[in-house]
This record gives sequence, C-alpha cells and structure tokens, in this order.
Amino acid sequence: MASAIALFGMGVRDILLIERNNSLGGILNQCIHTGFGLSYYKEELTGPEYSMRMSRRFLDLGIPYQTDAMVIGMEGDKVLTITSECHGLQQIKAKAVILATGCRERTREAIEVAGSRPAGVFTAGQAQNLINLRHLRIGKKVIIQGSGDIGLIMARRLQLEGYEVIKVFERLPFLSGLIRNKIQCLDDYGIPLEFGAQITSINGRKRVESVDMVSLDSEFRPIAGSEKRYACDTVIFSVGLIQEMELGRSAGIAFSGQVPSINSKFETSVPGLFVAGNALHIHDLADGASLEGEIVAKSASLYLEDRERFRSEAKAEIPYRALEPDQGHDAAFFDRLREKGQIVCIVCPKGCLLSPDDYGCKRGKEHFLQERHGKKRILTTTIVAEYQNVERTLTVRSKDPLPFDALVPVKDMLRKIGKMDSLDFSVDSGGTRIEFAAVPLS
Amino acid sequence: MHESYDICVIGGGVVGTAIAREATKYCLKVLLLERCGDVAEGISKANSGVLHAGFNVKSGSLKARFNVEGLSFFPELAYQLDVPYRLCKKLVIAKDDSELPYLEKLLEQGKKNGSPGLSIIGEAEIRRLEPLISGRYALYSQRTAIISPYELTIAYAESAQANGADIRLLADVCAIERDEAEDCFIIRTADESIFRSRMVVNSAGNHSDKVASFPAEQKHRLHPCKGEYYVLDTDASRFLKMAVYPVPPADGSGLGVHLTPTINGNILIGPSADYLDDPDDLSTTKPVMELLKKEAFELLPALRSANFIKSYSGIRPKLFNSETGKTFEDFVIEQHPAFSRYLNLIGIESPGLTASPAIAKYVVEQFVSRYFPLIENERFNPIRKSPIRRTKFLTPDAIRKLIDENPTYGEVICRCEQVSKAEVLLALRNPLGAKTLNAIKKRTHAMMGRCQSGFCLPKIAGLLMDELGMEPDAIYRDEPDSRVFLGRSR
Ligand SMILES: Cc1cc2nc3c(=O)[nH]c(=O)nc-3n(C[C@H](O)[C@H](O)[C@H](O)COP(=O)(O)OP(=O)(O)OC[C@H]3O[C@@H](n4cnc5c(N)ncnc54)[C@H](O)[C@@H]3O)c2cc1C
Ligand SMILES: Cc1cc2nc3c(=O)[nH]c(=O)nc-3n(C[C@H](O)[C@H](O)[C@H](O)COP(=O)(O)OP(=O)(O)OC[C@H]3O[C@@H](n4cnc5c(N)ncnc54)[C@H](O)[C@@H]3O)c2cc1C
Repeated sequence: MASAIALFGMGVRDILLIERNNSLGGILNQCIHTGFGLSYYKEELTGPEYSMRMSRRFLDLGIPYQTDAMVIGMEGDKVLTITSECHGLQQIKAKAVILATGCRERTREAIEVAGSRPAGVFTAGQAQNLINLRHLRIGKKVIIQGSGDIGLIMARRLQLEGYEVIKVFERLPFLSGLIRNKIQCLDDYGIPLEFGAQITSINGRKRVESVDMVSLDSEFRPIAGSEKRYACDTVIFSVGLIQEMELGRSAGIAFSGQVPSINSKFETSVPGLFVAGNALHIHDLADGASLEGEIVAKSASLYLEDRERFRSEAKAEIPYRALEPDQGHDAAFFDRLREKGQIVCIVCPKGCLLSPDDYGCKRGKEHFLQERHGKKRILTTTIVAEYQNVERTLTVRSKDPLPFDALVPVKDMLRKIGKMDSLDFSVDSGGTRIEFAAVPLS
Repeated sequence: MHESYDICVIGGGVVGTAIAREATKYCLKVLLLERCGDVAEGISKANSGVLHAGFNVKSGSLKARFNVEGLSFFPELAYQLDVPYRLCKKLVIAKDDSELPYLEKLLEQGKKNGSPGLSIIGEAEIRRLEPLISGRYALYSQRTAIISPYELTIAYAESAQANGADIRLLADVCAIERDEAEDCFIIRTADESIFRSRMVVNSAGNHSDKVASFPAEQKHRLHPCKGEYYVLDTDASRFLKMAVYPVPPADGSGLGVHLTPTINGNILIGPSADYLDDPDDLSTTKPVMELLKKEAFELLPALRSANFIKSYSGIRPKLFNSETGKTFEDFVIEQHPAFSRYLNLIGIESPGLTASPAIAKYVVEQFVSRYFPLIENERFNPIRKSPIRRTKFLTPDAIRKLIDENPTYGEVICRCEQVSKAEVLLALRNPLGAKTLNAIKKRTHAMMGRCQSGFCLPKIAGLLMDELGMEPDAIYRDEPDSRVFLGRSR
C-alpha cells in the first residue's frame, strides 16, 4: 500500500494492487499489540490501527485493487497470472512490478527438531492468527522456542488469554527480539527465558506431551548431560522468517543465497521487477517496511518515466542493511540491569536504560516514575461484538495504560460487550471509566 | 441383528482397500474396517511411493511374482482410478568398479523375475540422464514409476465403496471369535460395534500379527523397522527427474537411502532402517536426520537447508525367518492355522504398494473363490473419478474453465501448494466421510508445502467449522483425540 500510495503521488495512475487475503494490510492485521507507527505516523499504534490508517489513505485515492486474489505465477516478461473467486483467472502484463509479498515463518525443521508429529505444534504467527483472528484455544501449557519479537509477543498474548507459558528457549546466547519486548512480554509475567538452549525432540502421539531440550555451547553443539524434559501440551516455534519470493523465482530473478539480488534501485535481475518490504529483507518495524515501499515506488516511477536516467542512476550496491540482533542483550546484560536497579524503557523501540541519573527523555522520566509507583500497561485484545448490525471481530486497545493487575479482569469484562455503537467506547471498571478504541477486522 | 457380510477386510491400507475393491467385482457383500479416521493412515501413507520394476526381490518369491504382476496393471489402473502416476524411471548407482557386480546381480535377478526395461549404463549416459548425479555405472530401469500411495489407497477405497462395499472408519477391531452355529466370525470393535462375516481378510499392516492372533494363537511375529525420510521442497524438483538409488546395503534391511521424486513435485530422501519395539512409533531421530541431510547434500550439492521442509517416518512390517536366521522373508498370505476362512496377510512390506493389485487378485481368486462362487457383479464400474481437480497442475486455460464452472476454484487457501477453496471443500466432503486434517492433506496437499500449514491452517480450520459445522475440539490431526484445538476463547 505504501508503494502504491507513493506511486499515485508521483502521478502514476495505471496501478493495480493485488492481495490474496480478504483484506488489505498484510500481517499487520493479526498483530493486535501496540508498537507500530512511532516513526511513520509519529504515534504508537496497534497493527490493525496502522493498517487501517494506511488503507483509508489508499482507498481515498481510489487506487484500483483486488483482494482475495492471488498471483499464482509470473513470467520473466512480467505477465502475471492471477486467480480469484470474483474475477476468475486473469493474465495481466505490467510494465513494472513491485513484489511486496512479505515473508513466511520457518518451522521446526529449520532447527532440526526430532521426535513425533502430534497435534499441538504451531509457529508463532500461526498461533497469533488462530488466537487473535479465529478465537481458537490452541492448548494450555506452552513451551516457546525462539526469542524473536513474534515469540515474545505471543508469550504475553498467551499468558493474558489464560495459558501457562512455561518457558522460552533461545538458541543464541543473546536476545533476538527487541529488548522492550522481553521486558513487557516476559518479565512482566515472570516467564523465564533460557539462552543457548533449544528443543531437540517433541514427544506425544496424539497431542504434544512433552519436549526434550538441551543446552548448546558457543559453537551450537549440545552440551552432554544438559538434557531436560518439560511436560507441556503445546509447542510454539518462533525461529525466524524467510522471504516469500516464489514469484521472483518463477520470473527467474537472481538470488544471492536466499535473498533476491537487487541493485541500488531495488530492482532485481529482471528489468522492471522490484522488491520491497519483508519480501526483500526482514524488517522488525512496519514503519521501515512502509518507508522502503515508498523508496521503491520512487525507483519504479523513474523506471516507467525515464528508462535511460534510471539505468544511469542504478548502481551495483545493496541499498539496505540486513537486520542484525543486538548481540549485547545476553544473560550477563540482564543480570547487570537487575543489580544496578536500572529499568529498560519500553516507551519506544529504542529501549534506553533508565536510572534516576538518566531518564533518557521526558517520556522516559514519566515511565520511570510510573514503574516505581506500580506498573501500567496498554491493554490490547480482540472481541467479538455487534457493530453496525453485523457481528464482527474487533481489535481493541485501551487509550491509556491500565494498572497491571487490571489487565486480565478488564480483558474479561470486554468479552461481555455484546453490541457497540461507536468504535470509541468506554467501560466502567470499579468506578473508573476506561476509554477504548476498536478496529473492526471483518 | 448385527450386520452380516460375506467378507470383512481388516485394514484400510493400500492392500486392504485393493482387496475390498477386487471383491466388489463379484456378487459379494464386502465390509472394510479401518481403525483410523481415514484410509491410508498406516504404512501406505509413509513410503517411497515407487512402483518397483521387480529386480530387487528374490526370484521365485511371492514378492517377485506380485511385484512384476502388480506393475503390469499400471498405468492402466492409475487411469481407471484417476490417480496421478508418472513413469519417472530409476537409476541404481554403482560408485565404482567394485559395485558393478551388484548391478549385474540385480540385472540378472530382474531378468529372472521378468521385470521389464533393464540395462546397465556407464558414466556418460548417467550424466546425460541426470546431470547432477555422478556414478561409474548404473542399472537403468525404464519401467520404474511413481504414484501417490495415499491417493491410490483412497481411490481403491472410493471405488470399492461406489461398487457396494461398506467402509467403516474409526472401527478399531479388538476381538474376533468364531460362531460355529452361524458359520461366521463375530468381529468386535473398540466402540463396541459388532459385525458378522463369513470370511475375514486380515490386512492390518504393522498390526497384522496381532490381528492374526485374535481368533486363536498363530506363530508369526512382526519386527517393526523404521524408515525415516526428509521431504524436499518442490523448488528442489528441478535437480532430479528420476529415482536414484545406491547399491543396497548387504544386510537386507532395505534398499538404502535413495532420492525419489514424488508425484507432487517434491523429492524424498530416505529411508533409514532401524528396528524398534513399537509399531506405531513414527518419531524421527536426530542422528538419522543429520545423516539423511548429509547424504542429500553429497548427492545434490545444489540443495539449500531451506529445501528440507519436513521429516517423517514409515514402518516396515518385517518378518524374520527363525530357522535360517536370514532377514529376507516372503509375504505371508495364508489361512489361519485354526480357521480356514480367516486369511492372514502378514509382512507385506516393500514392494507391497506395487504388488497391491496383484495381491488383491490372488486373494480373491485363490482364497475367496474357495468359499464363494465368484459371480461377476454386472454393475461393477472400474472407473473412479477423483472429485478434486488439482489446480496446481493445470494450465491457465484449464483453471479459467474450472473457475467459470465453480468460482471457489479461484480462491487460494494453501499458498505454498496452490490449493483452492474448491479443492479443500471437495476434500472435506469426501465420500468416505474422513474429516481429519490429514484427510484434507492427503486429498489436496494443502498444509504440506514449505510453510507446513503456517498460513492455511487457520483458513482450513475455519472451513471445517463453517462448512461442516464441526466444533473446534472435534478437529483432529489424524488419530481420534489428536486435538488441534481445545475449544473457542470467544
Ligand atoms: C508477529 C509480528 C509482530 C510484529 N511486531 C511489530 C511491532 O511491534 N512493531 C513494528 O513496527 N513491526 C512489527 N512487525 C513487523 C511488521 O509487521 C512487518 O515488517 C511489516 O508489516 C511487513 O510488511 P510487508 O508489506 O513487507 O509484508 P506483509 O505484511 O507480510 O504483506 C505481504 C502481503 O503480500 C500478500 N501476498 C504475498 N504473496 C502474494 C501473491 N502471490 N499474490 C497476492 N498477494 C500476495 C500477502 O497476503 C500479504 O498480505 C511484526 C511482524 C510480525 C509478523
Ligand atoms: C519406508 C517404506 C518404504 C516403502 N517403499 C515402497 C515403495 O517404494 N514401493 C512399494 O511398492 N512399496 C513400498 N513399501 C511397502 C508398502 O508401503 C507397503 O507394503 C504397503 O503400504 C502395505 O500396505 P498395507 O495395506 O498392508 O498396510 P497399511 O497401509 O499399514 O494398512 C493397514 C491398516 O490396518 C489398520 N489397522 C491395524 N490394526 C487394525 C485393527 N485392529 N482394526 C482396524 N484396522 C486396523 C491400520 O490403521 C492401517 O491403516 C514401503 C514401506 C516402507 C515402510
């Protein structure tokens, strides 16, 4: 959407956006937590709020699009084959194509987990979808492998939904996701995290019964004698994302390793075929993916307008930096924090270390003082309610942080809302009014 | 009154369903009982899927006979049953001169067995046929083919059902006794149903020794032998067209770790061979997974780690010959020592898939015929049409036509395997009434691609609930109670 909006802004009118989901927004729609948009919209939003903002803009411009439509093939000459229930099979030739097809999750095979294949094994994003969008209960006692952001976010979500998250294992000796996510998703709930450890085997015939894990040395070799078994009924893997590039592959683009080879204009080895967002490299922030979409739009527009200038400007250099986790957030780092009584700021993704001598910024100070007083957190959840005479799934967030202990009771209270007249609403909790904002997902 | 049948087949694997279908060619009342929620949940879902040419099996054995005869029914049978089949051909590779004698022995055995289309070829020819495979010599088998083993099983079962057989899923046979007065067997299942049948055919795969002992003790004991596999992404299929086997290990445990293309466009690597106690232990093990990966990288250096999308295992029902101590044992197809109308099929390991139509014919013509007059069923229809068209394999024009007729063919549910909503819905409404996630997998390949259901499970669960009205906690992976969801949270 960011690319299409930018292209429109540059005067390109013959645009078509094709999306296989039934709504615009991509993976954001299932990311009901806050943490999006601080740099792009200068405001902290939930995934659905971010996606709604962008799709409003997109729809206002009247850019043609199709949802529930999947590109099933693309030739090197940029002829796309699309199927959809509503338009049947279409074949379209484009002058330029931007692949913003996102990524998919690695599975247990990525870390060679042996054992049986019972029910109860999920990937984190899959669990997120099942819980947030389908309201399904996927288990009771959960082990999570992987400390990437999705794993951490899911740990909190599960805990709020009444699951018991027993432990999170991370193969690396340091945290792989954002430090603020460890604080607000694990530490807040007392969920233990073990570095340098991984699940080796899943046991159970019908449903998961337990997992075996082992500690790894610095070369990722299993340490003899460190094996342990944990009883659980659910295993969630959050072991990395991998670019969705099947269309690029079918069009015959060149790769370097797993990654599409591109020039400084985000153009692949097929002229006029561009890649942006998670499809190119994994962005930990949606903001970055959107900004990249705009930059790529600029390239594509130049390509359409002035091929010669485009060629002369295109250099053989990679125009982005691949995401690397901060290797400093290891066990010793978190021990030091505890010793020094420092707290990690969770107000923005920077994750500053706050102390009475150094509050980082004004909001950091507010946060620090509040933490001393008693934790407060934004509540995000989903509800099913009638809105505009249709029963829908809505994602809901509290406009202000709530006392930590109120999160679960208020969440349960929200479930009882049968009908809502406005997307901005409030509920009464023990005499205080709590304001909420909702986004309908269906 | 309990339902009464002429023949009760126990086991809905490729062999049992083939027998049930064969029996419906005659005027017989046929029942098939399968303990799982679908057919093809045993050995028949986890094997190499190869229609062997018949040079690997000892001359003069039932294995050799049924292998070669079974193969001769294909591809005709595959067309009749609308099961995808591909003549992929096969190379057995000798790495150096020292292995050449093995190939010569195989060639000679193959000729004796009557297996068609065999020759020994040299380096240059190997390279021409499979540019990425290296070897000094190879036994080149031009008649080796591949088929989807579970789709074949499903097709046999649907054909049998359409021709009058009763197929009962979730029917776990737990006791059988003889009723002399009524001249029949009384068959009891775990859910306390009772069936009566004048003849019993035990085709229970890895449990056939146990089922054989239900009416009275008998001597055969199976030794489950696990074979682990890796499945490679369809993306890797460009590396290989043929099945590529090494010279088999001397211990007779199997055919050695081989590369086999599948009908769906994946490549299988495996199987290993390890004896175990539990015939239902389908777990994979780290050492074997590492070994298979290593061998795969050696055979095909172009592979990437991301190409390995899944591991699984299958279990061979092995018989040992206690007298000779040798591991080669033939298929056992014989009447129960105490009851002549109780036919046991034990040790139907490889090439059981290939042999299935020949075994079925043999069972009906040699054994069933002794107790029932084989009167032709005039209404028998050999043709079975798969209700599902796999859009993935169709041309754009064919897809366009399909969507015009049924628009739900236009909505993709499983992205990796390009499976449409129509395909999933048709699979959900399969004639056998199988309702598990595995049932959908086997019929559509949804959830079997590179994301391993990450994206499509939510959608498929939604369809099961909305279209079939299933409660979330009734959605099973495969076996009863293999619950994927514990309920709803809203
Ligand atoms: C669980 C999770 C938590 C996250 N948390 C945060 C956070 O707190 N803060 C933050 O800023 N960022 C977060 N992110 C990152 C951010 O959401 C992503 O980086 C960003 O949304 C990626 O956008 P994208 O457009 O590149 O990909 P996507 O959102 O994945 O969009 C790709 C779209 O392409 C469609 N598509 C793919 N192939 C085809 C085809 N063949 N035909 C038609 N359509 C196709 C897909 O259906 C999809 O809708 C999170 C991500 C995840 C997964
Ligand atoms: C690793 C491996 C690779 C192989 N590769 C090949 C190959 O490439 N080519 C080839 O031709 N052959 C191959 N085979 C052999 C082939 O797969 C088998 O011979 C064939 O599938 C056996 O089918 P079946 O019907 O006898 O057994 P199964 O498919 O196991 O069917 C038996 C059924 O009986 C059911 N059952 C068991 N107990 C009961 C009970 N008490 N009540 C009701 N139902 C019961 C089970 O649930 C099962 O569904 C391979 C085998 C293995 C293990």
